[in-house]
Amino acid sequence: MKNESVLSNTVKVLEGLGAVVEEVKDSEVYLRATRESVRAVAKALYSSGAYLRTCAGVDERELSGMLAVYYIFGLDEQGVDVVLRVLVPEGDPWSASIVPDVPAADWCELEVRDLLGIDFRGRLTKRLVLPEDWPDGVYPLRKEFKYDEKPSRVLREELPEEAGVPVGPYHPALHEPEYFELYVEGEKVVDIAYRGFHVHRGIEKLAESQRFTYKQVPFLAERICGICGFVHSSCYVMAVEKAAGIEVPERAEFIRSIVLEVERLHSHLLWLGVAAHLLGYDAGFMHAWRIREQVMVLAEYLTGSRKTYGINLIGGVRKDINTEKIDRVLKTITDLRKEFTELVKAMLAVPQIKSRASGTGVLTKAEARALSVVGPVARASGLYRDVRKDYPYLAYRRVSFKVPLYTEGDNLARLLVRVDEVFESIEIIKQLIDVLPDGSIMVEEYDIPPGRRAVAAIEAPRGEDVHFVITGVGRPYRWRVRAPTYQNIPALRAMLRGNPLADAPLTIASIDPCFSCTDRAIVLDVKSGRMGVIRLK
Amino acid sequence: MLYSIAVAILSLALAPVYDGLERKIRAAIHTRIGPPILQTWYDILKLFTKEIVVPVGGIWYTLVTALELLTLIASSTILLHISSYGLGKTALLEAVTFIVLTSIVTTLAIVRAVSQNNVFSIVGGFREFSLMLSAEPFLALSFLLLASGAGSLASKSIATAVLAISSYVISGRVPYDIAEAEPELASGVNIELAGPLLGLATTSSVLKKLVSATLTALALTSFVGLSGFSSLMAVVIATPITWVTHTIVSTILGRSRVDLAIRFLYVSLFSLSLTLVLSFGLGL
Repeated sequence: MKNESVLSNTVKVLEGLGAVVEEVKDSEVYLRATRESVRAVAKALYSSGAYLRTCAGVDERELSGMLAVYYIFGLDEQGVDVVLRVLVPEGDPWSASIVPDVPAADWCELEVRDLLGIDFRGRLTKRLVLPEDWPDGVYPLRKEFKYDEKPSRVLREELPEEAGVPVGPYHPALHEPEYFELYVEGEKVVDIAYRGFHVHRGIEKLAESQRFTYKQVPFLAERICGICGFVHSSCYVMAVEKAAGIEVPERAEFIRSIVLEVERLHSHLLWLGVAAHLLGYDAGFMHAWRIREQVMVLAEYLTGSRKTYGINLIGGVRKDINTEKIDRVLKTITDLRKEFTELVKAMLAVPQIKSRASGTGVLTKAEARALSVVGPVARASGLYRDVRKDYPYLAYRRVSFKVPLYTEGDNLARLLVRVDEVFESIEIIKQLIDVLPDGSIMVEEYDIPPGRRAVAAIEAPRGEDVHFVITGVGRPYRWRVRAPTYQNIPALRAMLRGNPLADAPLTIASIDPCFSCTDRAIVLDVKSGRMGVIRLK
Repeated sequence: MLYSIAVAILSLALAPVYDGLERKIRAAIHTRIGPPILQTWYDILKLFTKEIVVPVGGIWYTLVTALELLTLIASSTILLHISSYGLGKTALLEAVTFIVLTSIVTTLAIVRAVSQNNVFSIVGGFREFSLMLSAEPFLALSFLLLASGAGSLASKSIATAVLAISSYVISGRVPYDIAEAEPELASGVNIELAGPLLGLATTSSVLKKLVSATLTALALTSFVGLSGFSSLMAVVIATPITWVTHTIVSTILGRSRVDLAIRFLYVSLFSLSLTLVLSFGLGL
């Protein structure tokens, strides 16, 4: 902990508001609050400078006889997670909402409401994650609900009554299905409506099922995302290792860090290409992706796969890096740096890139703080927030790098943050390769006792990825995943309002959103003019 | 008459080939292989073999699309007819006819777009309207001045610059492809089109590019002072060269936004045109 006295003062204030300290670990403090007092405790915590990383609903009836909500706050300056646990009786499942004071809790509370059946008082509620045909009173995260259970459907009519400019679920600007309804006056966007979670794959529930064990979940975790999958598998194994107290060999930590930075290079180059395409500069798109190809070849050389590397296991990694590979890595990143420098120079010289990205999609620092945005979105709005610096993990303690920071908060600032991060990642890889320690890459034997809790976070290309684990027998009792896009999408409303329609795709893309596959589509009956929903199995 | 028909057929045949060349050059700049040079022809022929799907707007919509194409063919034919005399040596009436036909093409394109019950098409149509209002008056002014043959070398140079910029705008290339603007409008004015109707629109689009390149080629070759067959040949040779130049310009730029595009066009074209009018007025 960087400053224990500040932390202990904060905890004292929270205790004065009714919170009880449950457990204190190296970088985590667990507190319990009552459902009546949680709002005041959360408000005090938020006012002390903490930001909400996420919240998680847990069916703890087998452990404590209650349902529970975990609010996970981060105190960046102390590098500590403060986890606030609220117990809720099954027979009267409600809790006070913290949303009026901590707006960033909006989505995760709604998710807990949908999946666990806890109602939140003092805020507006609506269905967020579950599809419209899901029956009332059936909560998939409760333990009695089987992972492969299919409840009977309830047919409901829904969908927007007045249509603006529909963007999605299938749209050239979105490479995955999401739905944005843009309300415009002339060419100016005056409001937006968002609909997501077209496919909630139930991955967290699946990991708790008999089909999975601790060792298999990393491969499931890696499939959460097709671009930053390694981030998820790393975050999962780190959470389990932290909960179980497993000491991972240093060499394995270095290898994980190197591959994480390779993944960041890949992701940022991909994004830069997409941004160029959205701005009509297809030459930039093609060249960004041409350069990105080198990174994919390198990833294949290091891990055996161009993407979805599959080298993470609890206790270490499956693939080592030998001298021959080191030479190849150094050559590739040296070439990459040269070509990327030329690409950026060319891109920023295109007048339309600067004129359209400057001053559009602005997110102020205050808005960024209130919504607890993460990653390049936060850093472009002047928030110094990078998990690699704030909560050092793996081998990041051993490298020196800068955190790019811009204050404009516009699309150009977000672009420049990512550009700078590519250069920083190249330097990080060089440093890690230079001091790669000898030794084994895997712990052969370990034990994972049940009932342990841990929070792990990794700075993904899109921002902070958070995994929360409660250990069980043979598999996680509860595994909560919060991808960075989850935290950043709510900021789009502030970013899009008052902006030109033409820049909406760029603004949406500027958070580098990561959606998933679809299971339903909107249909319009041309004859009757009625809209409905078709569900695809 | 036969000459006109031959020119029309030649225009129809060559424009997709030039477009194929454009795609090949753009691919080379992108470090891609790109499609064959005849790909645009293959695309158009394939589209005409598909079933006709008439969008909301019915037969009227189909007629407008066909009429737009016919008007473009007429525009292209007139341009080549003017080329055979040389710009500045032709009857002003032909130049006026060309301008009128250009305006008709624009009007038809906008009518086609806004008559659709589709928000993307309507937004695209209004963008086209705004853009054309910013470019076509300057195109008309510069073209008529050049066609009149009056003015000094300096004023002709300014008029050629105005004509080159405004004719580039009507070609609908980046940064002025905002009526289609795929990322936000999902093909905008063309979103409702499929099969033969899309084939007609695609042919119109490549003919617009041909008219645009021919206009600039005509203005540039007029400085050489040729007439008759040699003038026509000079325009025929300069047209693909201009087309290639347009291709390179569009590949190294990004897409503009409607407000930025209009502001740029008004500032640049208005100041150039003002200089042009003043130079004429002062007899420079």
